[in-house]
Amino acid sequence: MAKAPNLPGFRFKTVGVAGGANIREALNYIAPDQMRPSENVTLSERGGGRKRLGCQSLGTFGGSTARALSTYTYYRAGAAPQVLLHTTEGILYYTDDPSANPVVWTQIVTGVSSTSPFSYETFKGNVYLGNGVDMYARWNGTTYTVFPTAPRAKYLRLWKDTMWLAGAPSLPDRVYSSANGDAEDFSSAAFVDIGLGDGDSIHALTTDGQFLIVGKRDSTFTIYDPITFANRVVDFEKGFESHFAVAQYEGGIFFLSRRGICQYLGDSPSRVISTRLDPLFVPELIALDKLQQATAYVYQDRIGFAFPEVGQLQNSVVVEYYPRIAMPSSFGVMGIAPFVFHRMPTQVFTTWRWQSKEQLFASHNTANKWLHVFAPVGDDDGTAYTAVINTPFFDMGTQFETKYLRALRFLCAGRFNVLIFRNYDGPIYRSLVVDATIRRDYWDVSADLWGVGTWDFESLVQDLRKEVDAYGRCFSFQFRDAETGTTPRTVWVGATSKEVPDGEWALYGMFVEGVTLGQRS
Amino acid sequence: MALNPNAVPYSREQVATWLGETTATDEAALRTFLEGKLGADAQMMVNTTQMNAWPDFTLLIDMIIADLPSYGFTYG
Repeated sequence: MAKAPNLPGFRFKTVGVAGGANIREALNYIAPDQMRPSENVTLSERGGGRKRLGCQSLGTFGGSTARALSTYTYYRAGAAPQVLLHTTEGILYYTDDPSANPVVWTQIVTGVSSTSPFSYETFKGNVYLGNGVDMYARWNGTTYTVFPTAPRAKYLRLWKDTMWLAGAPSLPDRVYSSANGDAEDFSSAAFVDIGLGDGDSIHALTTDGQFLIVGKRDSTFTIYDPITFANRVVDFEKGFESHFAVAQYEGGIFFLSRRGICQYLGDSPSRVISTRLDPLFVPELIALDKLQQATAYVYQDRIGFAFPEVGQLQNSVVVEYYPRIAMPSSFGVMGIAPFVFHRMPTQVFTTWRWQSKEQLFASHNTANKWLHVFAPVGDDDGTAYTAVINTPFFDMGTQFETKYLRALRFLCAGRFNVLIFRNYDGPIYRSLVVDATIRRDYWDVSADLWGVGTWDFESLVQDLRKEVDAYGRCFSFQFRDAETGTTPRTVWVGATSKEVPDGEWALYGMFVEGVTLGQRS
Repeated sequence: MALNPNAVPYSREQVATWLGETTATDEAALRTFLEGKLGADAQMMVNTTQMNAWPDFTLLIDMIIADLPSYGFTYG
């Protein structure tokens, strides 16, 4: 009587996606916790991957052709902060409530530049503005005042109670200083040339509090003495692409350079932290000539950078960094944290906090719309978007043997599709639907005597098994969706379970059951 | 003794006013004009030790002339 061979079985468990996106490594060298194709996924729960929340339109500004050039939150201690918005119609607006729907925009000034974005700094209760074209100006919440004799600078930065300006026309190396404590008084000799005549130009001013950081396109300097303007080179190879693509987060300064996303280190050349995204930073993929319009945001546990791809006039892709997910090395130094990609219709960003609210806002990149980013919605201004997690190829420890996958188990939330690829081939080999959507209340609400939500409900996270019946030497799994909903996420506040809105689906782990069949002849 | 750049007692506003008054058609004429405005301070030196590619000390007039583009000034 024939007897079935005793084939060695295996069980395999994925290790999450805390490694983030990796488009640099060859497809067979990507670490198990990294993703190759990936998009619109957040990593806030270490190891898990979840579809991001969407962008909700909060109305329009200006005419239909208006686009935003820059935006800024003007905090006024004790009073409601104003959000300022500079548009391609040459109008500067403000609103007292950027979270209203629709937002009411009030004109501050018209007839200003329609191409050169204002940069902003708040000092002594006023916000100061400059764009290199229009006169340096002050806005105090009610009155717009210009200073015709101040340098017309593109970039403003406050450091040591002094306003510093750079980017004046025809003076690409020059940094101006106001009088100490007075951002409206400029001495006739209060300037310094940084890297005079080196052929480069200043693209950004920022500060770590100790020094004024002067970012040229291909180098970085600091001014370390606000009296004598003493300065030195920090990095003679990496510079800043955009004044608006600089973000400060927990003591670190992160910025977009030609080499990728960098972290400023101060006492040594900046560190490129986006090495896993290296293939992105080539002229064939990103619009090098438009990187000065790149922007950045800080929101919750993440830092985002938006910039245009080749052929795009506006920012078209966002890379997001999760510094808190970095793992410390054995020497205690924090390693490089993961990145993810987003495609969001966003151009310029500002984070706004007032009373009980803290929200990230952006202008739409192809419309005159004001967006609440990561709002509790499952679409981007009414348009569905897809989230993608794609694992590396797994060979279950044996490269040459063919395996049979019997079943997959998913620890997950929400609804998504799973596409299976095998043997490094492109075509989809198998696809299945995983539906872990939940019913929140089994009880008949109309007859409910105990109160909605106090009766039975399903767990937000479910463990589902799917038969798969697949053969191959190695397998890669892609998780993606076509949903437009949201799913709550549980946060334990002590021993009390709270729910916060989050993206439609999440993947926490996948378990594979199968057997190794042997080598094909 | 040279003054640090921020300690120079002539503001951009003052210099802009002067530049609005002059009809100098070249640098020499402008220099003479500014010397007249500055009077005894025409020889005022500014500490430019930290200015890349500048001498350690520079005449204030030379600094003003080097910064004319920021005022939008053109000769004549």
